[in-house]
Amino acid sequence: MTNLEKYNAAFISSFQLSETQLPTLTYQSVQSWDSVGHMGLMAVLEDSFDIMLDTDDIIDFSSYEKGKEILKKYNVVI
Amino acid sequence: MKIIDAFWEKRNLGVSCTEIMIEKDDHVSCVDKISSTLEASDYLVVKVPIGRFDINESLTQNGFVFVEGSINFHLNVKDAILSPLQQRLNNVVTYSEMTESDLIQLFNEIEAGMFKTDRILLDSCFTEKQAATRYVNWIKDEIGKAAQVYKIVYKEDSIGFFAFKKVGDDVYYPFLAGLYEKFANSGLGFATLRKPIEESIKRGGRMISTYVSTNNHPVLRAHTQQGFSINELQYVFVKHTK
Repeated sequence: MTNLEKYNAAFISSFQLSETQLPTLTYQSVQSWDSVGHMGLMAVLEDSFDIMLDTDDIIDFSSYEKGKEILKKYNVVI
Repeated sequence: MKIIDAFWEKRNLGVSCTEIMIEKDDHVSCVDKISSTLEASDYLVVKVPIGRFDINESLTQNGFVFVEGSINFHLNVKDAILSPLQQRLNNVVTYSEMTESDLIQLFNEIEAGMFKTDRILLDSCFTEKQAATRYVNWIKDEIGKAAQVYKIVYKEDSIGFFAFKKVGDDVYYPFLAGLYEKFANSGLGFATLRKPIEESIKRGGRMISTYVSTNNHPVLRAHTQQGFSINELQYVFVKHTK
């Protein structure tokens, strides 16, 4: 599984979305990406990439695209 | 049926308001009484216990509009839940009682439209300013009655607040809470529930009792995720008579 596939799978399983919805996805743009959903997504990403996100990065993770930039800090290139 | 002259809404909203609490065993004819005797009031709010479809139907026939469900959540503080990730974040989030300048910041945030699912804000007969004024006055009134208001802090930033009071021997009621606009999309919303739990525990409290509107889906989810359970549900209907 590539990093992109793992990244997409985290969003799809956390928010019950289709892949076509992901590029424009932002926090609260769908009902399932709320505070509870956000923590679920962060936990799945930490497990998938075997990383521990800094609290600032958890807070800044506001969109699908922003998340790609954040993961670069952890040597995860999407 | 209990009838309450909500005189404070005249100051808050500029309208006379009567609140009616329907009780479980009230006869459906009580709706006729509401309609015939209380229409001198500008704004009527009726709260109906679940399962009274006869009253719901009669209210609708009499021009009342359903606006929300009001859920009373209870939590025994020993049953409070945080996920491991929330626990990690919670460890770097603190809270403290507000100063005067903190309260000014809070009131500014409220006036900027902090509460987006409020039934007053969503009501086309009221304005954003009226909705905000009502919240600000509510907090000021409660402070005058010995409630406390706390700021929630992440690193150096105030991210939100909770307002809190004791309502029983070991029962606390966080009656209002929220995140400030800058942090609305941060995932830190859990802290607005968690910090009142911590303050209750600190004071020797056993139970939290609070109310959430069914219009506020994220906050409903947050309560169930942190271990709250539904104690009571009421339907809320309103009518503008003028």
